[in-house]
Amino acid sequence: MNVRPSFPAPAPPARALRQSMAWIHAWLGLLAGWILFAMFLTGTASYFRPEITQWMQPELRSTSVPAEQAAQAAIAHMQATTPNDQQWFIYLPDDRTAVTRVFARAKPNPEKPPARRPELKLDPATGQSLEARDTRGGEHFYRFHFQLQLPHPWGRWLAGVCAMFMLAAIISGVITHKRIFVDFFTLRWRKGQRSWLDAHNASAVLALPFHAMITYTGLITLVAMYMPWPVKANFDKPDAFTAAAYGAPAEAKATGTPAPLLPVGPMIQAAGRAWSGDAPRTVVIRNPGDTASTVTLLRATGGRLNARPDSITFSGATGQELSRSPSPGPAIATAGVMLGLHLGHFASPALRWVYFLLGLTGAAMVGTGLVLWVVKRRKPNAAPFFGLKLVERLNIGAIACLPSGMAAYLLANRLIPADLPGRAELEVKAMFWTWFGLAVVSLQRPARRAWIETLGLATLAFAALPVVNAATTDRGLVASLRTGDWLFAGFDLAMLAIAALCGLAAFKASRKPQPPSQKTSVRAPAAASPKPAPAKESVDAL
Amino acid sequence: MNNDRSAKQAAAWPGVARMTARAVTAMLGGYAAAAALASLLARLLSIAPAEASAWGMILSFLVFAGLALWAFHERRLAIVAAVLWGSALAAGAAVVLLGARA
Amino acid sequence: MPYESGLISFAAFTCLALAMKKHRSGLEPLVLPSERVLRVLGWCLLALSAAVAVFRLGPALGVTVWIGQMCVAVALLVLLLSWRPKAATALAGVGLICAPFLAFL
Repeated sequence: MNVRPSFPAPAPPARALRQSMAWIHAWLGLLAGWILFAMFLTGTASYFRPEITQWMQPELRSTSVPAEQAAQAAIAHMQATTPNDQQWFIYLPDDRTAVTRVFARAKPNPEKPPARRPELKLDPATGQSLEARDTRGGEHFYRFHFQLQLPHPWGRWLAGVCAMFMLAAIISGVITHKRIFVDFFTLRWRKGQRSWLDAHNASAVLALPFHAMITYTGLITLVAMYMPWPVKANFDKPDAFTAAAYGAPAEAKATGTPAPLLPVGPMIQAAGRAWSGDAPRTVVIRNPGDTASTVTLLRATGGRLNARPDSITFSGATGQELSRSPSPGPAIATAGVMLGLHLGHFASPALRWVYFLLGLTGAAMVGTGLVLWVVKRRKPNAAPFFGLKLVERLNIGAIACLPSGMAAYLLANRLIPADLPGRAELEVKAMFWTWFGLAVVSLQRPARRAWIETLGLATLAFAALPVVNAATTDRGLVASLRTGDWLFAGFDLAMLAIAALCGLAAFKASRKPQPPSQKTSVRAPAAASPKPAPAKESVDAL
Repeated sequence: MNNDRSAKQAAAWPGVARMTARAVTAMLGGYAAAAALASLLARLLSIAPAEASAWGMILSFLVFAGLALWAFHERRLAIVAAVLWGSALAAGAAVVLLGARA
Repeated sequence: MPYESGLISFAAFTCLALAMKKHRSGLEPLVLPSERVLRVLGWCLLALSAAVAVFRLGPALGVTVWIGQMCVAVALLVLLLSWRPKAATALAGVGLICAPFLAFL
């Protein structure tokens, strides 16, 4: 396989296919690898999006409140503050979120378009507005992993292109790898290039179902943007497709005649009977206080794979059920399950950790692939060519510097004063300045030292998080363990584990690499390759 | 089999330009072909329109990936361009000519 | 703790790995069953781990959980096997013994 844009020499069909796929696999991985690594890492963190948000607002403590009470308390708040709005959105708390979030949309005013109102946080029990430090929380990692901090819609398109590269890289990688089953359990340490190939193969093959699933379903999450044409072939407007697929909630224009909004408790109970006991996650109220008011309840998706919520709409004035979402057909249900598998909202805490670990194998697959590209092309006695140096530096910047950036985002949350205006933006800036700044600074160091030092810095940054948390809040590790605050304790322990992982990586990078040699006597039996020839071939295959 | 021809073409048209044309054909042509084929499938499947559109969308990325990879496997660029752009045009034209569902 | 499916598949993959010639050395005091026995046992355990997950969580969620835990289990196994093969083998046995107890927790 070559770097130059030329194909390998013609070969018999099967080998020719493997060769062309190996060639394109390397290019796909190289071009999209750095962004894919960042998408994998921040996306993996996003499995704990609500938990990260809770950790980043230590002022708020979660209270468990029934859905009826939280919804009614939020409605009371809205009626007291903005009774004449067109629409209220109420996002109810669950066992992963501490607060009720509300958002109101004002009536359209042709003379003066109303300013977009900010989302408010309410106490689930009382409906009182809650004050906490301004932060994007876990939402930032989540948004970054498919918007890449670029203006709309370019970030989403770039993420889509990278996901498509990933999909093609998975398919071409499987075709390339002809020893999938023979080398299934093979991982040989301290053998230079072969170790990197083993690690790349192992992280890719062993979690292949996850990688394929997460890549394909990732494309499906934004399919309406990436691939709207099949909808256009059948429908004049996207709204018509939405209505046909998911049902359109009954809505009517406001009559202007006031009518009190009935309590939502009975509606929530009625919905619970239709949904085998499930509570609603979201309450949408249109034209509150009008005879034509409607209350739409969206079902919590917890526990079910399909992430498209069922919905039931009631009349706010009479309490009668007006409409409910149709049960989806096979294709719509498939798309909903794909969305659910990607988001993982259905996952219990046990499965969420499985998701998290599998996400890390994805980052490991991309990272080892990028390193392998460099290791494979480095000649022992020749000066590295420009492309090699460039790729190696970008590898350091993407793989070793991003963790420090993510830690800086979390550290900034504790170190920036809680009442400083614009602090949420500062936290985000802290991540990118640390990430890219560190990448630039690391250019001053020889590549090997740069790996060790940037990974070492990430170790320190993550290890500092529990310390800073304990110093700046009253919810440090000792306190949270004592009070059984498992979210905060788990978060601190996870940070220590990530620090240990970064430290291990730094330590490994500091070991003098051994050149691959057939004669090396290694005690590890896995390293004892019975047949040297095929092993060599498998190195060449990539 | 096509050694002579591709060698001649490679000499006539520098490798970088050919590879650029191939990459553009694989990405844009592959997308166009996948979009057109998925739309045609959505239009032709005789099930509920929303269901047909959803199947088209779900399958489109697999078609795209397959076509794009094949574009880098087939050595003759002319064939790659003809198949990708041709199927995009043919399927796209079919969707337009078929018009809205009755 | 609903991890019994993962523990069983860890043991299953250990059997399948030890059924391969190149992963059988280095376990000296241990006397391994023949490759054939281990292969059959491995596939049976893998089927069992799927059955346990499906029985516990139903077909849709069960298969999802089974595949997820299986992937993590085999990734951890390969890491451990490359570093401490004896410990990996021992852990597979311990996990298999613990699995039924976990199922009732």
